[in-house]
Amino acid sequence: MTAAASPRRRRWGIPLATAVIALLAAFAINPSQASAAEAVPVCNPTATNGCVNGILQDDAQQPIAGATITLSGKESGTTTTGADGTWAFSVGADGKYTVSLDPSVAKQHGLKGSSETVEIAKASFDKQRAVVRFDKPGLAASGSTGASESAGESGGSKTATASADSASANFGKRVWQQLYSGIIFGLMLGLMSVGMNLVYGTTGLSSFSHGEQVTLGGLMAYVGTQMLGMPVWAAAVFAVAVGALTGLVQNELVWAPLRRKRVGTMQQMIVTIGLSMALQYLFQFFFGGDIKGIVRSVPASFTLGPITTDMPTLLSAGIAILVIIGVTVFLYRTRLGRATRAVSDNPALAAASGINVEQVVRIVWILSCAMAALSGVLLGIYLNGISWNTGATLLLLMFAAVTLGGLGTANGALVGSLIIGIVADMSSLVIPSDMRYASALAILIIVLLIRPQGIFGKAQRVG
Amino acid sequence: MSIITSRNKFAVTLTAAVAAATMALSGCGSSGAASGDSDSKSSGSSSAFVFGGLWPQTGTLAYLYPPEEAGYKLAIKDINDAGGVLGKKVTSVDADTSDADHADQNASAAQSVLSKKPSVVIGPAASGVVKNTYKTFEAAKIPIISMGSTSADFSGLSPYFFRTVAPDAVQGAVMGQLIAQDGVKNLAIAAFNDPYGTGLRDTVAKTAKAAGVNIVYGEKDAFDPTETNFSSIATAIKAANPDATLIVSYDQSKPLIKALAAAGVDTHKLYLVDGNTVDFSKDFQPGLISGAKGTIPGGHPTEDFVKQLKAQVPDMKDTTYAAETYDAAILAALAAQKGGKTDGETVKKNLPAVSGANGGTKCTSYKDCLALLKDGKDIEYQGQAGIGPFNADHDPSTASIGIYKYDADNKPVFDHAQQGAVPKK
Repeated sequence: MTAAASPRRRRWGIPLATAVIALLAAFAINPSQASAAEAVPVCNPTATNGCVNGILQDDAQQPIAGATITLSGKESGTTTTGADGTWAFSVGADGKYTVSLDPSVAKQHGLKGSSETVEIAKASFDKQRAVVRFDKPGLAASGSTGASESAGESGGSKTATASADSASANFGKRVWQQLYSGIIFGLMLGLMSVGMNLVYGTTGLSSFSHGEQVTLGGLMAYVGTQMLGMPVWAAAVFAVAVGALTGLVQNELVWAPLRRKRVGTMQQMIVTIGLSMALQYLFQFFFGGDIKGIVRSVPASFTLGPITTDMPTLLSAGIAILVIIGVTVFLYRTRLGRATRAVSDNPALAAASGINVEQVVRIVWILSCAMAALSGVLLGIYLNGISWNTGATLLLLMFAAVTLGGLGTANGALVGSLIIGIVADMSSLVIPSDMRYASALAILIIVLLIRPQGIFGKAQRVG
Repeated sequence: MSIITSRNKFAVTLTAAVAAATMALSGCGSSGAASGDSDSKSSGSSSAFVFGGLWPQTGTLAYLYPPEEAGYKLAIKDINDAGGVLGKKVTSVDADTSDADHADQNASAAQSVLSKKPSVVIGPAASGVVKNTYKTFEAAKIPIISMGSTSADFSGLSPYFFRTVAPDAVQGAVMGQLIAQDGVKNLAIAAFNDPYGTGLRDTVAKTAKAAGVNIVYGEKDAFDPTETNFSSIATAIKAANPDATLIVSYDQSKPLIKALAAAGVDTHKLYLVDGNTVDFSKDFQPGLISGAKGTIPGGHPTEDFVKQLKAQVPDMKDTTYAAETYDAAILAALAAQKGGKTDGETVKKNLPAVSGANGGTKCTSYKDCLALLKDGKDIEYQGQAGIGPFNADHDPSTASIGIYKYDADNKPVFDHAQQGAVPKK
């Protein structure tokens, strides 16, 4: 039995072995032509494999799960999309691959194509991974019929009109939002420029270091909240106090002696430029070059009619308005305020009529620096950070606001600031946002051509 | 924070100030005196190797300085610990370039370093600053190795310009694919107006668009690098209603991200690039940008390497460009060692060779490489930045891009790296 069986087995064994070998060979040869690409959940290209992957989702970005994706080309494979719509093939060979999706699935979900050919080159960054999403506009499926193409086209035009509609609606919404942010920025700029203008009015000095007073305020608030762990309001009070103190100190140490020595305002202005540079780099030395956030949290925003805002912004605007009203009341209703305006009008006459000009100037310096510090705090919160050069970048805008409103007039500076703020922010609706300050400064030129003394300035004899 | 650090910084600032002042003074007179005194030092193989360092110690890029300083100091320490170059300890001369907005400072820093006849210049990091300074060194035949200038236009910029960081084309392609495979349909881009910002913006936009992503805002827009008020940009981005936002910037990302959050833009779907993929844990409330992704060229630095860096500069917050700076310095020192001379021309000639352009025995530290060179062997230095040998354009021929994902503490966590060849120009 065994003897009889063994030749038979041998006879059968040979074809079996050849079949197995043939099968193995087929598997072994196949990789070079169309081997199995590995379907993986996540594919990241390495030196030995490239990736063909993507995410399948409909127009509303809802993932399409369970759809079958077929890969053909150098290697082939099949996979189904995951719950989040993702799918991936890890492929070994460089070359062209075609990824396809059942056209009916593509049509059902409004995808613009059902097949796409990509190229993989493992060594090259831009070709080691190919992302296919079947939503490329204008990529008609190679095997699709005319009907599905026209369906895709009409779908495309539908989304196009929808986006055009939303764009115009967006524009309407943006107008109010930009107007609002322009007013907020204008108010904060106003807080700085009013103080700067008071100093100019009483002493004739254009202070180039006023920007650094703003920075100082913001940085002191940062010190208060982030280093000393104070609540924001306390840090703000601390910053304003430090600002006021620097106003007093610099008047006593620098400006009063310079005035006593009858140094001209031009020379004093040069001193402010030097002071500005010294202070900037001093800030950078102590605080570093990065942007410091006064608060870490982002407040919850809410909509107020057509605008989106948050509580701190509204509060900041409120504080700015209150302080500006307070300063106006001080200037027009109090003895000291009237004295300030008298000094501003004519220092010699004011001195002759018994006003202590030095005392007034001291108060103005303190007030001006305190307001600058306050605006630095509010700005630091509103702009989400303050750095060593924030004030310096705002200095030109302050000068523009002051000149626009009228040099030496407190309320002119506020109006000028609001115009600069609103025009700058509104203009970004039509021009690139990095050019928006240019439009504000263009307004400055136009206004000065018509009213050389500024909007609220008094016409003066030149010369 | 510590007294030592601030004193160090003060010393550096003082040195820079003195150097600048000296430059300004000597610049008025004839240059004869300055070059005459250094000529005797520069020629001949016996002179010591001098590193010139150009750093953003001030200006808007000053936050990049601590990791660069750490990489640089560590490299010099490692070189000197291994016996220096050609048996002599190396020295360094540094200057502050500030940022590209201070072109005067760029030029004076370059002159200040040049006056000390360095063998090689490490830096500057920023593309804008490289543009303002590279011609000075080209004329003096001194190679410069930038660790951070990724502008795509800089491939083959000058025979004396090298870089240890991959050009933006590479990072842009990876970022574009990342955005596409995450299923982003409508992308907004906030990029700043600078060769780096607009260059990277364009490559990402190109790759993402090819994969089917719509760019709804910012394909052609850019903001001013000195911008402080981001509310109008945030409003415009919100109005464009994107699924995700790409931010190409440096430090401006801090106020910008907060402005975006305040405007109601989804800050969990942010894409950040090497200039701003940093630790935000001290800047934002927890969870503000969790899920956001970022790309940084270069492999993920090993913990050991980070520890060594921290020992040099304790207040270093992140490691951006630290490995690239380290490798730049090591490669330059090896090039001088291989050439047997410390002048710029020798360093320039041997830089591709020690990086492995012609093949050689692989080595990973200055000490090992030095030993191989002393045995007369060809080497291929494989450093910390994960880059391949310099190619004909003096770009790294291969590079890796790390992809990071932000955790709930707003810290970037290494996810995976993508390696590949840098496309030739």
